[in-house]
Amino acid sequence: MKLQLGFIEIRDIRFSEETKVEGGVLSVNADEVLAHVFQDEEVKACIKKAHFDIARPGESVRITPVKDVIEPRVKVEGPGGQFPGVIAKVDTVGSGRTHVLRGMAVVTAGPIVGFQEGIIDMSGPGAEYTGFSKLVNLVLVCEPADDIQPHEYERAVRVAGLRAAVYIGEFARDIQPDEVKEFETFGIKEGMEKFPALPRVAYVHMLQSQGLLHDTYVYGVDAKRSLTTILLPTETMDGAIISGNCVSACDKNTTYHHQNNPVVADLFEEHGKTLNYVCNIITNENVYLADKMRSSDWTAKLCRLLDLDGVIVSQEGFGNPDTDLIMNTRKIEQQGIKTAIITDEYAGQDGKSQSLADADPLADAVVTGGNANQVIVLPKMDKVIGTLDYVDKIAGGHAGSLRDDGSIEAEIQVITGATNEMGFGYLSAR
Amino acid sequence: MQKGDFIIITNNPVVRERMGGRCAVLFVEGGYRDVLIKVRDMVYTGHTLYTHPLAGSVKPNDTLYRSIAISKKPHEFSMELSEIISNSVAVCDKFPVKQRTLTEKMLRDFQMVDYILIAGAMEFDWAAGLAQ
Repeated sequence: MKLQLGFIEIRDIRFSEETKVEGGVLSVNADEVLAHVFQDEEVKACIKKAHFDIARPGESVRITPVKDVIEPRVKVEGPGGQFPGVIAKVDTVGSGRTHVLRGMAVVTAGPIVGFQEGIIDMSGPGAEYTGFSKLVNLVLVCEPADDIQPHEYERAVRVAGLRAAVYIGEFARDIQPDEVKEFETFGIKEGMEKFPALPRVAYVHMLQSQGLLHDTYVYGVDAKRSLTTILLPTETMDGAIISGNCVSACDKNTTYHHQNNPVVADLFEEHGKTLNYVCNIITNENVYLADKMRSSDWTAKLCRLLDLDGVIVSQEGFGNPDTDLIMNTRKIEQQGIKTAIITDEYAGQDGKSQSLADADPLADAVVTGGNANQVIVLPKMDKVIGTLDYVDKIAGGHAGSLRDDGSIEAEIQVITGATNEMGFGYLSAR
Repeated sequence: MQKGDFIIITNNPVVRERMGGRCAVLFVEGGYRDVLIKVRDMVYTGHTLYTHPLAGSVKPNDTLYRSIAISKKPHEFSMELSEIISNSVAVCDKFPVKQRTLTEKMLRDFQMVDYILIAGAMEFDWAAGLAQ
């Protein structure tokens, strides 16, 4: 299956009477986008009010509490649409042509549970820990309706962000892209014939699925309800997976991470040169231990069935998923297949503690996304989009995190994407 | 797991209130670590661990509440399960205790997330439990 991505560079966003993309600038009629977002009954029922704001790289702006980050796109040729099974119909995506508004994102902000949302600083030391500070962000700030349950509100904000992104993405339909890239993987036999001398490599993509407020959706299906299965890499790139969770900000895979998964991007870079990129295997991180055993058995079984030589495994979250990570890795290695895992660390503020909650001698090739317990001081910003009410409570913060002078002392856990476990970040170790 | 052969070890009052009448619940007067220790001691004597002790990705020094499902009766000793629970105690111990005051709403949110996670894992209708 072949997918073309047409990238349209966005250098700025402005509020305007008319929504359009012209000369690298996205003009947005905020009222018009909000009206579209609020056409959804669930959004209407669960979100009391919402407004848009804009945050640009280098500005003295802090966005918090951040829920999700989404890249606006539109399907211009071929089957399917954006976020199949959630916004578009459930047709298979990953082929044809999709236009991407690159350099910008829709960010949803507002408290969900009040302790797992994150911070994006657009300048200062905090900006160096998140790639989202390099994007022009159109921030949708939401406020919950009265007496709403957190999970109902989470779902509404999730849908609101996706609807806003899809609405804006539509304006990229008739624009000539600045760059077009093509991505293609092959059928099993076809791939073996094309690249007989290259090692067969797949990506085991672990999806957060611990329960309500901790879920990921694939074609609209809650990943915890699914057995381990195969996905084409281009499906992942084309919006098949969305984030629906409120785990710690630093290692949460937002929808943007799924759309721009760096493991997929790097494997495609090497595809046909140093390796044969066979497919993605998606598996879950359920709470029930029997589910973990079943899912990791299936992961190893599929790896063997596909006659793989090597596998990259990435996880999402801390603690419970460490057990899935190690179960997957051990069982895949026991099939005679080499593994390399991507994770992050909770090694204590001094970095001296055991990094993961689980380990195995077979998991001996590890890439770290950084130590989430590392302490940072984030200086006061001139403007806050959202609210600072939760800074003392979010994971990585503590009483007194928000100082009188407006600065924040906290662990880098508070920064959205700081220790991303797909490797979408700036931290690692050699 | 044989039907009904589970007990939830918890320090979460919402789990006790909402699930207590419908399934076996052992309430621990104490903190997050006390629940882990109670479960660890039971797993060491052969109780089967059913749910992951660190479920939820909420850090042990962020939330105060923990609920874990294990078998009601002891079965065979499992080295793998013993390792998971003892590693979880070690993970809990490396997080420094936070000095902070949590509002009633925050406590309620932590209780609800823990309740929903354990209820979901044990296929208990958490919404019906709340409506009781």
